[in-house]
Amino acid sequence: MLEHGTPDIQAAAERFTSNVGRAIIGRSEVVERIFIALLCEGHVLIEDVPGLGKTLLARATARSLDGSFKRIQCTPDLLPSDVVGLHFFNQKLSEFEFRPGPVVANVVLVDEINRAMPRTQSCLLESMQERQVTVDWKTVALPRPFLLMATQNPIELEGTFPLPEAQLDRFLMKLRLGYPSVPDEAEVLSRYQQENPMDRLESVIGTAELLALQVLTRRTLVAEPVRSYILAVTRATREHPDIRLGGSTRAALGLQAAGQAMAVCRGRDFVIPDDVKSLAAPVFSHRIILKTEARLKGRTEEDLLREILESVPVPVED
Amino acid sequence: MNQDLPRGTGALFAGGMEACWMAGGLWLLEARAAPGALPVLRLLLGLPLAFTLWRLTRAFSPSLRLSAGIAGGVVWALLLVAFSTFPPDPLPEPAWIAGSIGRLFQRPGAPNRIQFTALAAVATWVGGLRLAAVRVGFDRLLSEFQFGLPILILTFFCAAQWNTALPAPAALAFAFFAFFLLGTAAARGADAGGWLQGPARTRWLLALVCNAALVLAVGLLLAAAVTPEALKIVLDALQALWDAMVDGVVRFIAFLARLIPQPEIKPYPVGGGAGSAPRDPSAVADILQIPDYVRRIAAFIVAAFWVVLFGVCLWRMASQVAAWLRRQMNAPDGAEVETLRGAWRQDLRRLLRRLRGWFVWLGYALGRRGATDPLPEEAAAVRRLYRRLLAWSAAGGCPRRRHQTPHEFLGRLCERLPEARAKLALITDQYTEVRYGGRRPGSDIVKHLESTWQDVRHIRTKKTSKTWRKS
Repeated sequence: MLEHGTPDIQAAAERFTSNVGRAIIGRSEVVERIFIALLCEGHVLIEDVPGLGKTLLARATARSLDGSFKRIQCTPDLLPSDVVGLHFFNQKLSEFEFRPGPVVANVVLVDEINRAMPRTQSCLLESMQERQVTVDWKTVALPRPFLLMATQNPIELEGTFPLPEAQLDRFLMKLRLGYPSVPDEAEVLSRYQQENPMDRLESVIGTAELLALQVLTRRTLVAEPVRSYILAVTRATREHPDIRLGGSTRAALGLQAAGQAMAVCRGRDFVIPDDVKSLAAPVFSHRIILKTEARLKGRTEEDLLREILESVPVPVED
Repeated sequence: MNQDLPRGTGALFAGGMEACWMAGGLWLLEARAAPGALPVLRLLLGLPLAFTLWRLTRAFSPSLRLSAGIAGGVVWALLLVAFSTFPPDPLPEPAWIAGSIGRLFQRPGAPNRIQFTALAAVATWVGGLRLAAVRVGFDRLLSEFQFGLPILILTFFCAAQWNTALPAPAALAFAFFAFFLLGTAAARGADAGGWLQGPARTRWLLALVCNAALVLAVGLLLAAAVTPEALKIVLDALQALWDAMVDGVVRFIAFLARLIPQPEIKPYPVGGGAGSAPRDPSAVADILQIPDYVRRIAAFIVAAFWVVLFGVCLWRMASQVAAWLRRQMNAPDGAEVETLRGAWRQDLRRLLRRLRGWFVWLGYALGRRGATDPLPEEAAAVRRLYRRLLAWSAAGGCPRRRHQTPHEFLGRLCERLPEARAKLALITDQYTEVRYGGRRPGSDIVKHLESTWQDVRHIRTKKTSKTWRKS
C-alpha cells in the first residue's frame, strides 16, 4: 500500500504525459503506457508503418527523463560488438580497455530492430532481462533505470529478420500508434509549421525520482481475486483453440506489474480488473502465436484477446 | 419510417392473423385429439379479452397488473372448462367446480378434454396479453406473417396427411392474408413513405402478393402432392435404388474375390478344448430386440425432428424470399427499407432475457443464504449491498455479464438509469475499494451507501416499468 508523503505518481504521470504530448499529439494513451513501462521497468516494442512518429515518441520519452540516451540504428551489417561494446588494446597503458556500446544507457532506442541479424538481436537478450552485458570476460551492469524501446515496421519485410519468441517475450508491451484523427493531424501540421517542438522539450523526471516511483509501484496491492483473474486470462490464452502458443509466466508477471503501474497512474493503490483488461492486449499481443488456420481466416491477435477477455469471468460477487 | 400503429388498430391486424393460425391449430387438435371437445371460437375470445384487460389495467403498478393478468387467465380457463363441460342452462350445481378441478389435475395416460380446453384457454390468453404488450408496426406485422404462415401451412399439411377435414380452410387462409395485407397497408400508410402512397407501391404490392402466393402455392402443392401413396412410391423407388446399388457393389466384390486365388481350407481341429456351448440364436435375438417404449420414444423424436425441420424450412424460405424482394426494391430510387427486427424473435429474446434475469436473481438469493462471510461487518455490508444491486438489476432485465467488470457494468446500468449515475458510481466505487483494495469502510459510509441504494431504488420505482425496459 502507498504511504502518505511519498512522491505523487499520478502527478509525475501527468507531467510526463503532458511533456511528451507537446511533441506527440493525440497519443495520450500510448504515452501513458510508455510511462507504465517505465514504472515497471519493462521494455517497449513500437510497431507501425513508417511516418507515424515511432522514433519521435522514443526520443521524446528519452528527453523527458533526466538520463542518458543512446540510439542504435539497426542494419543487417550491425555487429553485436557495435551494440554491447568491446575490449580494445590501449597502447598507452598496454592493456585491454572496455569501451561500452550504446546499450549502456538509461534509455536506448533500437530503431528498426528487425533489420539487425539474429546474432545482433540476441545480444540484447541479456541486457533486457538481466540488465547487464557480458563482453569477453567482463560483465557490466547497466545503469538504472534502464528502458529499451525498439521500433519495427510490419510492412517492409525484405531484408528483415523476425524477432525470435525469446526476444519478443522480453518486451513488456507492444504498442501501435495508428493514424491520427483529422483534428490531431491538423494540430501536428500547425505545431510543426515553424519549429520542431522536440527542440524545446525538457526533462521532467529525474532518474532518482523514477527509481523511487518504481519502488512505490511494486507496493501496489494486487488482491487475490485480481491475481486469479490475471492467471485465468493467461491460462485462457494457452487453451484457446486458435492459439498455438499462449502467454508465458513472464507475460503474467508483466501483466501484473503493468496493472500495478496503471493503478498508481490513476491514483489508486490497488489493481482492479479494468486495469488488467485494458493492458491485456498490449502485454499479450506480441507473445501469442496464432494457428495457421486462424491466420487464414483473417483473425488477429487482438481479435482473439478480445474474445478471451469476453469469455473469462471477472471476479465480482457470485 | 417504421412508425407504430395505434394500439387498437395494430392489435386488430396482428391479432387477426394470430387468431387465424391459432384457429387452424386448435381445429386440427380438436379433430385429432379431442373430437368435439374444444370450443374453438369461444377460446379465441380470449385474445380480445386479455388484450382489453391488459389495456384497462395500465394505470396499475407492474406487479398488480401482472397479477390481474394471471388471475384473469385462470378465471377465463376455469369458465371455459365449466361451460364446455356443462351446458350453461340450467346453471350447474356447485359440485361441478370440484369435479372440473379434479379432472383438470388428474393424470391419465393422455390429456383429457378438460385439460386440452384449459391449456388452449391459457395459450389464447397469453397471446392476447402479448398483443397488448407489443407495439405493432410494419416490421412486426411482417414478422407475424412470417411466423404465422408456416404454422398455417403446417396445419394444412398435417390435415391433408391425416385426412382430417378442417372447417373452412380456404376462408381461414383468406382471412389470414387479408389481415396481413390490410395491416401492412395501414402501417405503411401511417408514415409518409408508405407503400400505398410512395412511388414503390406497385413493387411493394407485387412483392407481397408474389411472396404470399409463392409460399401458399408451395405449401398447397406439398400438401396436395405429398400423400401417403406418393410417399410410399418415392420410398419404394429409393429402396429399389439402394438395393440395386448394394447388389452391384456385392457383385463387383464377388468378381474381384474370384480373381484372388483361394487359400487351401484346412479342417478345423475338433477337440475337447474348454469350449463353451454355442449360444442359442433366439437368446441373442432377445438381447438385440428393442423394447416397445424405446421404439415409441424414438419414433416420436424422429417425427418431431421432421416436423420441426419442415417448419423451419418453410420459415427460412419465406424469410429468404422476403429478404430478396426487399433487396430488389431497395436498389432503385434510394427507397429506405427498415431493418426487420422480427417480432417473434424479439419476444423470444425478451423472454429468455427475463428468464435469465430470474435465474440470476435466484442464484444470488440462494448464494446469499448459503454464503459464509468472514469479512469485517462493514466490508461485508458493502458487498451485500452490491449483491443486492446485481440481483435487482438482473430482475429488471439487465444482468451483469460474467466478463464485465463493475465499472463496465456501471456504464451499462447508467445507460438505462442515467438519473442515478452519480449514486450508482458511488456504490460501485465503494464496492471496488472493498473488493479489490481491501478497504474497511466506516459505519457512516455504510449508512450513506444504504441511503444511496434506497434513493436508486426510488428513482427506479418512479420510472415506469416500460421505460426501464425500453431504455
